[in-house]
Amino acid sequence: MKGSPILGSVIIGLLLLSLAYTAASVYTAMGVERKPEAFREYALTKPRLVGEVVHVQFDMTVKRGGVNMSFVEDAGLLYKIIVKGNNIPEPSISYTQMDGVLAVKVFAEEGEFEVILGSGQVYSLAVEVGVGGVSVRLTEDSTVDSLKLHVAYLGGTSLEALEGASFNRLELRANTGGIRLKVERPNLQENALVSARVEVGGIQLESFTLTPPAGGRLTALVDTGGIALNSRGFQVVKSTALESEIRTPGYEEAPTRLDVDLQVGVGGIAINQPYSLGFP
Amino acid sequence: MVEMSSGNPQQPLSADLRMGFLSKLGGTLIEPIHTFDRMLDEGASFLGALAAVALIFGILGGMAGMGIAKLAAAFFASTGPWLGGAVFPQAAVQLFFIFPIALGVLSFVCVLLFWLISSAISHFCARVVFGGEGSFAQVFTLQGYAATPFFLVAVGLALGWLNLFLLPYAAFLGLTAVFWTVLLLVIAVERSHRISFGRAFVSAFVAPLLVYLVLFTGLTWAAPLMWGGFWG
Repeated sequence: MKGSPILGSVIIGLLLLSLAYTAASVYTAMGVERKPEAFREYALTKPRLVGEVVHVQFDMTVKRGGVNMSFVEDAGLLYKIIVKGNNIPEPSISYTQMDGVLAVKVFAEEGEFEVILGSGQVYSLAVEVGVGGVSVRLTEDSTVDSLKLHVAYLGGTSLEALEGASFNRLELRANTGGIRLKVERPNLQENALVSARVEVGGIQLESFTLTPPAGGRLTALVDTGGIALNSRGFQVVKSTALESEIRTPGYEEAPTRLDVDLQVGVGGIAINQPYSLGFP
Repeated sequence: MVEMSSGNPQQPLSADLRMGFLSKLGGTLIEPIHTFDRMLDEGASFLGALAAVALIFGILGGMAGMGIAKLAAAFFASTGPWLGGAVFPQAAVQLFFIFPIALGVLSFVCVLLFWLISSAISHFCARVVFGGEGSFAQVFTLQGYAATPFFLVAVGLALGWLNLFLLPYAAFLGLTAVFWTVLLLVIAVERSHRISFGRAFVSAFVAPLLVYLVLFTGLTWAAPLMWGGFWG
């Protein structure tokens, strides 16, 4: 039995060495230990400008990457853009001011952007992403005249218009990908429209609720595919595999109305449906 | 609590002559007949074999989990910019820990189950068919130690990480580990039941193989029927 304990030690040593080497290799290869992401911040506030700003036209184009947009309760803030990531090329940001209107243009080849907007002015927003995603969250701090989100090639958009959010026209477009929508008791000053269209992919309307006496109407149209509808308190005007329409009771007489129009070329629309895992 | 011991109470050994864990591991590889006989004489507890299996297959599962975590991270990294870069690398840190731990535990549990069933089949065959005289505890304990050559698979995986060109050697080490383990499984049954090598081979290798073959064939045949019953 000479040598057995030594061989046993060698076996355990080799096992532990193999584990340690694999762990170190994977740890390094996965970049877990990479240095923390760099942040760059570009902000503009009202005190830095001469003259009043009542309206901001914010136009942003990102070829590859993501944009996450939200509002904060800060009347003096016009915009704050935070660029995340290492070795990301510098974005081009310019603005002009005329007659109370501030026109901001942002262009970036790639990157992940956090855009924070203030509560003291009305915004007209247009965000276009070539490949990637756009996520916008409208809250009681946001006053939006129009919002256009466009994914030109591939990717998804997510829009949440939550309680107290004020807007007139929201337009979402995606070529190939998906749109996720959530409309929960927005603050409607006048008749408003939410329009979403995907050429290939799907639209998921997670929830659609209004504060009475506002009225709401939802139309959904799919060219090839299907619609999964849960009317949840709405009157069903039409419900087929490819076309649906639902309304709140008394929609015609409502003082303010919100129309939601969903269209998909090839794919599906899910309205008030729980997430599906794809298992039968 | 049920004590499980594979020993022979007629031949006690003094504490200083008893084999340690490392001697059992090493001895299983270089002198399996002598080592297994000593273990039987000492009444070696199955806990040592359990520790060996847990160590070897826990580490193997952990290493496999790291490989999967790496692949998953590479997938997220490639889709990261498309998804706005939101997924990676935050998810990588979690993946690095979740996959290896999960696979390490899963691997140990699966091997434990496999070891239990295979030992039971081997023991049943050796005892009932060939009139062996050993106990289940003896077969279970010795067959646990028989998995020792699988440390070679861990070494092979590490070589693969070192350099992809060494992967053929990893495959060779894996095959060696399998053949060596089969040989030790047979010796384990032979020594515990005191039957011939040929009978031990049938008990330790052929019988479990046949049972698994019948089991999987049956499952393959029954699965569509069960599926139809559930969803049809």
